[in-house]
Amino acid sequence: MFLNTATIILFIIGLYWSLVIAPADYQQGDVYRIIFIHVPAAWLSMAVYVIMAVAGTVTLIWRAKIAEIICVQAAPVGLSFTVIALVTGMLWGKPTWGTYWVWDARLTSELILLFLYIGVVGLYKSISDARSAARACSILSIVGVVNIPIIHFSVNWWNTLHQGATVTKLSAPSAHSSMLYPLLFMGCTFFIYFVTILFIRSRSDILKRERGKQWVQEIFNEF
Amino acid sequence: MNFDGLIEISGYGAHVWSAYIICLSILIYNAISAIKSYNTARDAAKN
Repeated sequence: MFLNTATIILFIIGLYWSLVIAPADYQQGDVYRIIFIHVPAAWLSMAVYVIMAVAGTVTLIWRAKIAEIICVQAAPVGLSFTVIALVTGMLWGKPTWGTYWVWDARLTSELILLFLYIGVVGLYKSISDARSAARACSILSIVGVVNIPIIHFSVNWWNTLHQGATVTKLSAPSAHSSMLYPLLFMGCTFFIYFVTILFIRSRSDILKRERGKQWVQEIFNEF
Repeated sequence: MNFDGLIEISGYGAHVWSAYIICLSILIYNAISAIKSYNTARDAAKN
C-alpha cells in the first residue's frame, strides 16, 4: 500500500516537473520533453532484462521458487517498458529526425529486446507446468542478456542516427541540470513503479501456486 | 499553475501528448491488470 501511494505521488511530481517546470530546449523546443518518459523506459527495459537474467541464473542453479517468480513476472513489465521506449522514441524521431524509424543499431537492438520479451512471455504461457515454464524462461533470459551490452554500446560501436550517451558518460553528463534532474527523478519513479508492480504480480503468482497450502490459509485467518 | 500555463503546455504538440498519453495508458493498464490478477488469486486462495 505504501509503495502504491508513493508511486502515484512520485509520478504526479515527475510529470509536473517534466511538463511544467523543466524549460524548453533551445533547439528542439518542447518536443524534447518526450525524453522524460522515453529514456527512463529505455533504461528500465534493459535493467529489467538483466534482473530477469540474474533471477534466471539463480533459478537454474539453486532452483529457488522466488527467483522463478521474479524472472517470469518481471517479463510483462519489461515488455511494457520496451514498447513505451520504442513508441515514444518514434514519436520523438519524427519531428527531430524527420522519420519514425530507421534500421540503425540502437533501434534494431531495442526491437530485438522486444522480441525477446515477447518470447519469454509467450514461452511461459505456452507451457502448462509453471516450474518447467519458468526454467525455460530462465534459459531464454540468460541467452538473451547478451543483447543488453549491444543495445547500450551500439551508439559507440556503430555510426548510428541515435545520439550517443548523455547521462551515463564517463565524463560529466552533457544535459543541463534543469533537464537532467527531472530525467533522473523520472528514472527513479519508473524503477519504483517496476518494483511495485513486480511485488503485486509476484504475490499474485505465489497465491496461485500455493493455493490450498496451510500457510496461505493461516495468513488469511490472521486477517 | 495559472490559465496561461495551461495554454502553454497545451501547445506542446501532438507528438508530446501522444507519447505521454500512450506511456501513461500502458502503465495504468499494467497496474490495473496486476491488481485485478492479485484480487482474483487472493479470492481463489481464500475459498
